[in-house]
Amino acid sequence: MNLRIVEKDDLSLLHEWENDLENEGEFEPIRQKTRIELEKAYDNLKDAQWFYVEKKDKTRIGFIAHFLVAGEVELGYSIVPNERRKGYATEAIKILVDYLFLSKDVVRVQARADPENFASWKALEKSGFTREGILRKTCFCRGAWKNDCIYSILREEWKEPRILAKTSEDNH
Amino acid sequence: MNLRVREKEDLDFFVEHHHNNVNFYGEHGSVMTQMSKTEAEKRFEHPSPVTTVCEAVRFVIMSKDGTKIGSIGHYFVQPSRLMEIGYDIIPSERGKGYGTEAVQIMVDYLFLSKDIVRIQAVTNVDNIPSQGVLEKAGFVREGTLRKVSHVRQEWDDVHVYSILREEWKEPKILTKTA
Repeated sequence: MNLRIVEKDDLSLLHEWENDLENEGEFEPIRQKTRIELEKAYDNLKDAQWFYVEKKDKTRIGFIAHFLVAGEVELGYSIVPNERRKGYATEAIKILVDYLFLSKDVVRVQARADPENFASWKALEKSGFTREGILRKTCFCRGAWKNDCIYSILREEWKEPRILAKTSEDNH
Repeated sequence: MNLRVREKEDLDFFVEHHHNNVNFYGEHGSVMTQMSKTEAEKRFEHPSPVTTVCEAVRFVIMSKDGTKIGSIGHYFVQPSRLMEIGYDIIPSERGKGYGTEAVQIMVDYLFLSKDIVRIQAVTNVDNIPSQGVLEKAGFVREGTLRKVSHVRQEWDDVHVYSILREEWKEPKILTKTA
């Protein structure tokens, strides 16, 4: 698997996914976005990066991103419906966590998941994240205020890269 | 007790207590609050983009005789737009229940004036008095965020608290009509 940074002329697939209710699943807000709105969001990315999750054969099966929330580095992800339950999200999270701790001087990386979105927070736990609490009624989603499980992994818990190597030489 | 929105004339109070005393926030807060009156006035007249986007508003806490004893503020955490409050009492007036009363008034005010479902607050895990204030004011502890607050050379953990509109039910101190 590979994470490939999203280029501006490469937003079509992401745009299609974000407006597709089936792809978004039952836990994401229903938020229809025009192509121009998505491009604007892309142009305004600050302290954030978007990646496609690619399989070895270059098929794009998901999206993962990191961004700042109230000064904290947070990540978010999604996998297309027919590729779920295969461990791809866990692998993508591990790669992104490696990348963040290797490239940024941060002590923690956090993530949130709907407490009912078992698959999502399981992926976090398998990637070494610890549940810190449940924030109540933080997100208005599909007609109701939903809770958010908050997770984090600290640098000392990560210890060393799981998938990425520290130097490119290690790959040779 | 009364809360009054901060005016320019109140800046002397903030310069004296908040901005000119490294120990004001005690062992749980940042020491980096040094600010001259000129700087404080500049910031008051020209709020930073962050202050503006968070819609941050600060109030002075006044005792019955009009003495300024602390401050309390509300703001929207970005980008989640979660309503959060923060407060402080000057050292000589701590331990007298003023913090709790100020928080109760603020919670009443926010739930009465804004269409929000929750109000949150965070405290350093070692700041027991502040946690007491929140618990007495009806807040529930939701979890503990690790290493999110950099204080005095260390990364500290903070407790997150919140009160939901349905837990608040009705004003405790303010009334619904003037």
